[in-house]
Amino acid sequence: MSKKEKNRREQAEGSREKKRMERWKRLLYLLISYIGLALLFYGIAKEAITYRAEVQEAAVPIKEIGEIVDGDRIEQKISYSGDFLSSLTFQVATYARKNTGTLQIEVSTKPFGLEENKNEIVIQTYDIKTMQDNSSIKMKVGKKAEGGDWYIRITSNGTDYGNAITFYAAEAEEEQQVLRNGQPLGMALCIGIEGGKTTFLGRWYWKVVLVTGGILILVFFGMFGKGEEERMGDRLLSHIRQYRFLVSQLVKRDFKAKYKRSALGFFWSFLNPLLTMLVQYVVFSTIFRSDIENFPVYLLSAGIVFNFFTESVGGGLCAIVGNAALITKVYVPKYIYPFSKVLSTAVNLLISMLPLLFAVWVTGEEITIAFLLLPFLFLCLLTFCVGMSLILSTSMVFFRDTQFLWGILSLVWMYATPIFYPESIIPEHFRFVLQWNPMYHYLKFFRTILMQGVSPQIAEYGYCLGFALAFLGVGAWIFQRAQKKFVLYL
Amino acid sequence: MAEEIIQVEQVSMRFRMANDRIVSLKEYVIAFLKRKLKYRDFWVFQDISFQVNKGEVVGIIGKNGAGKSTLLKIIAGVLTPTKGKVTLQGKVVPMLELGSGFDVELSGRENIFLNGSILGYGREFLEEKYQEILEFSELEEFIEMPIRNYSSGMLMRLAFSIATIVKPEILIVDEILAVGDEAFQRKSKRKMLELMSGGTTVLFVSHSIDQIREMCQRVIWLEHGTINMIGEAKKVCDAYQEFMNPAVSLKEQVQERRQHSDAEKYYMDVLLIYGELGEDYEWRVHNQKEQLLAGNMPAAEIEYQDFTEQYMANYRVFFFIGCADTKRLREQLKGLKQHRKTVLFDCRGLEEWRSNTIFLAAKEEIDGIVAATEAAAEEAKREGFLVYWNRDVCSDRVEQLSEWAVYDRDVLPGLDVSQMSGDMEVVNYYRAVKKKEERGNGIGRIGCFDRNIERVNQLLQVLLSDKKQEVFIRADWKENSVIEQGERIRYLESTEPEMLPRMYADMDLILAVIDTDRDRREVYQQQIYAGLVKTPLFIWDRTGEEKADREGVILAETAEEFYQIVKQQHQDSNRVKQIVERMWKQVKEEATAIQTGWKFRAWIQQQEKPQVVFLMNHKLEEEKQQQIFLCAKQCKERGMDVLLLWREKGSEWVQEEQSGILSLVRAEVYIYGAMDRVVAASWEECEFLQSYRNIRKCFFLQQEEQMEEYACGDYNRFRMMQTYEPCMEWTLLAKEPFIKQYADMLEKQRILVRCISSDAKDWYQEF
Repeated sequence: MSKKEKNRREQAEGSREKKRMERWKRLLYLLISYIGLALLFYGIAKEAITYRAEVQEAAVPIKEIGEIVDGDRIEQKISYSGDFLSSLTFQVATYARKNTGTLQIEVSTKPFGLEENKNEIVIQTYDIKTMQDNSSIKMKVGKKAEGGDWYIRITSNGTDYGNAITFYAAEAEEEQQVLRNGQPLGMALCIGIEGGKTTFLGRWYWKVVLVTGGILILVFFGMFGKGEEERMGDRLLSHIRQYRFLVSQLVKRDFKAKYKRSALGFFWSFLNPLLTMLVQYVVFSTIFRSDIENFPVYLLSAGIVFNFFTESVGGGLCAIVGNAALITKVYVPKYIYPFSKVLSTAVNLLISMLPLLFAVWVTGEEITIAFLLLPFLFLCLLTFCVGMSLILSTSMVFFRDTQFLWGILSLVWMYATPIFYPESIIPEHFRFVLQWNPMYHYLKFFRTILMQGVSPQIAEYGYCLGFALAFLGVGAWIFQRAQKKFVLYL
Repeated sequence: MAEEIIQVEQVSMRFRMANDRIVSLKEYVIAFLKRKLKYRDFWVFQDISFQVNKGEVVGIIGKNGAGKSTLLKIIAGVLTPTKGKVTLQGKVVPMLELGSGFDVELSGRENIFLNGSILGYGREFLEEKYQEILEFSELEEFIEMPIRNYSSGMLMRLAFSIATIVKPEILIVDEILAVGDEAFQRKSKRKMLELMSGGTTVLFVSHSIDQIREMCQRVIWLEHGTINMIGEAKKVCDAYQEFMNPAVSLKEQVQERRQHSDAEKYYMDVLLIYGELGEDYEWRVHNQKEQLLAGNMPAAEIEYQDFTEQYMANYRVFFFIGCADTKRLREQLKGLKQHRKTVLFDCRGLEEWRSNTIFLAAKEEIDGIVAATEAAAEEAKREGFLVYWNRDVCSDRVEQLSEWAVYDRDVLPGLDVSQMSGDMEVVNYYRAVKKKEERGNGIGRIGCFDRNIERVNQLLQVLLSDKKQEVFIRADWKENSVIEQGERIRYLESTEPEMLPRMYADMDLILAVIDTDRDRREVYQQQIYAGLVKTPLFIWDRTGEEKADREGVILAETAEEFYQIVKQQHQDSNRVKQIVERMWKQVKEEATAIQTGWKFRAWIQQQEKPQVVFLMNHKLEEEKQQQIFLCAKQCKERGMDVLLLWREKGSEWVQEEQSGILSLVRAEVYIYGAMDRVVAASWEECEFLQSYRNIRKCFFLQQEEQMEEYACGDYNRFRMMQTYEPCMEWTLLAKEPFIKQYADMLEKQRILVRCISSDAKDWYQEF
């Protein structure tokens, strides 16, 4: 008898021990993946983390500074608020004629003429022959300087009067004025400056990572406890484990049913975006001309993302009403229906990424390491769409007009998002529309990665995540409050 | 000691009912502006509390709308109570409605996983049990096929198999599920009982008090939003039954069903049209109608003044009784002739024959005369008419008998086959009738439906010692029965009054104790005559005062004695034959109405013109529709009575094209009458053919385009149909390539295949 009891106690002890072990294992996995992600993120988006973009527009040109011929030395000091200078843009004029020779621009953090340190100077030489009248030349610098004054020197070689170019300038204060062979000309060159300023995150990245890690561990213990009793985290995990299979089945159902009787089946997931892009590309590049660079990718990326948005929200919207037969018969957490609907559209999104990547490759864009950031975007987008679906599906139960309203709303939304037009055509006083449009931010994020191959600005991460969480929060709140009444209205 | 697994604490449920349910914003705003947004609170129930212990089977009873289903839904978690709390210790499997999570596009296999996951089963569990589900549902062959091709019976079987594969802690059942054909029904029932006895806690709602009584330990009686009574099953059920009053008598039910007041809503064999020639005629009409009914021919009646052309489509035979000669009548007769309908006239006696000029005036149009007296019949015959002599023999006795007779024959009065829910019922009934005919395994069936089962108990035990017997007993006497439960004792669940005649008919022997109570004895005899029981045997109660030597009745003093006689008779086939013959004689004597009824019917059927019904679907392509029309026209030209039966209203062009072919819209009429030949051209129509059994011959018209593409799929469907509806006789009309490919296989499935020429010209020959 006592032996039995002992046995049982040992067993119980054993299982508790096992549970505790599992908990530690879980924590270990969490930390490893966290550190891995932090490192990876730093590797991919180092620049975006370190600097915030700081752009100084060039002044409006008023005058030219006269021909720059052999022996001329044009110097100017510029002050720039950023810590990192990525490029300078100059305005050139050729007097509307063909000139020859070369032009040399030097940029340094120290004044010229002092002891010259070759490492401090960036030199670039331009062929004058290729320059056009009233054009701009962009010079890549890519240098860092704390609290920086920058010095510029321009010289030319193989030029003479009547065969030289000039730079545009505008009025300026004394200190900023351009010097020609040491003589101030009473104005300053029109220079556009692009660069960045070190951010808080850039300075403290590793410390922030450390603190966040600490918080994560605390949250972990808060959710799972030390091992004995069931906590929120355990319930959450078992909830997920319980309904994971259902969600996967529902997604599978949606996906299979969608293409069931079509001959090409799920190839339509490739074909559809590709053909749509082709049509839009032809229409917009021949009829409505726009000078966006790499227009096909610009268009296709937006098409895919926005299509996912409308399709998933449109599907999620009807998820509750459409599954009325089930909801009134079997208990399943009701959010599962809109959620699985969005998820099944997401599968489509992933498939249509293939033609997009193909288009990216064909149009000659580089596929960089920054593409690894796409999962983050997709997660945010998914969360956002789930949030929207929760809100709208709730509203749909009580007011069936929602579906028609949504049709109109999504149309308006489409025009309010720069899908086939450049964002620059939106007038300044309507910019706020873009700022408050979540889809704009998702698109911007997407395009930055696809077309520039770099990580977007840190602030964009904030927008994407912020909108997603806000919509999910509001959606979950509304849904939670109303779901008890669903059965009565179905 | 007992563990409480379900705890319901002071649960109240309120439904808020707006005057109209507002579902759109516009309505809401309008209602709001008008300040009409009033709600009416409706408490389904208030402050209900009870507990259910682990392993208990608890029934819930109550009138419609008492909140039974709502309560189940609350416990299942589908509804949230307005107030109160429900605590559950364990996993709930609700069997509220089967198969609601099916997706018709997916295959059976995929649906098993989908539906299983909705019911909360895991992947490993389903993979492990997959084979078991498959075997239970008996659908191995079709599991990879999209379930849109399944019949409704197959769907239900699949759903049932999935739902019951698990052994849940709490099972919630809204009505016992009897699905599929009879064999599967038994199987599913057994499975349910197995679940219920296997330690599962069961909450169970049923309208069948008998079932509740049999299965439940405790019963909750809901009434007006409160628990009226809770306790031991027997007590509560008794109280409830008393409260509800004994059900309406069978006769009343039958009569209610037979009152077809508006004749235009039905498709039937015969329409009786009577003129205004005195009260006598109404009685005559009544008489004829009863006789037709007794002969398995449903008829509707209508006054002549209400008879318009639109009735022509709904009937095959038009029977005029006491209608005077008018211009209108003659025109109508011409119209009927044009549509190849059968026209009969009733002339009661010589007087009427001589006074009514219509008989001679419209000689061409009249197909036959029914006379009541010999003299009138003679005179009519002399004029060259076909005459049937049908006396006025209507009596209460005849009426009663005809009612019973109708129930055991092919006609299904009052069953609306146009409704989906009715389909299964019709099919089941059909199967039951058919099975009876096919049964030939030598096992005798002994029916024992008497309340006084103790009296035949001893006898049954003796009978069962002979292995070739099966005994059928009403389930609600299970408890009382002293008989040890053996394999060969079957309990019949359904003892609805309507089912009784069929149960009687299904037996080879019937054991009954005839009480001294005269009325009860009458009832038994009626049932037995109506069922045309092969060897009805009676035991007279010893206390019975009469011991008269009646034909076909075996009198025995003791059970032992009776058994000796039975055994003797059973072994001696001659003796059995004698008894059967004697019984027949008795039936014939007593049931003259049935007799004359069948004769009458036979005569009318002789007069009927061959009829072809084409099932039309406005969703069909126009070209196909036209082909069918062509076919219909040819049949009409060949002297057939042609009817187009539309699935729904629709299709404009048809109105012009109809060109004299009568058409009906299926959704608008109730179809009772028999049909000679029915032609379907699409699968949707085949379902109708399956559900409606009063068809003599079915044709499926395989059209050209379908053949190449879908031939294989169609073949599969045929196979399926033959597996599950083995009693249909099909003829497939198709063109040669199809026939060559599948002829052998189809012939094996007892489907006749006929070749048709390509230009549709000679199709009618097959009809």
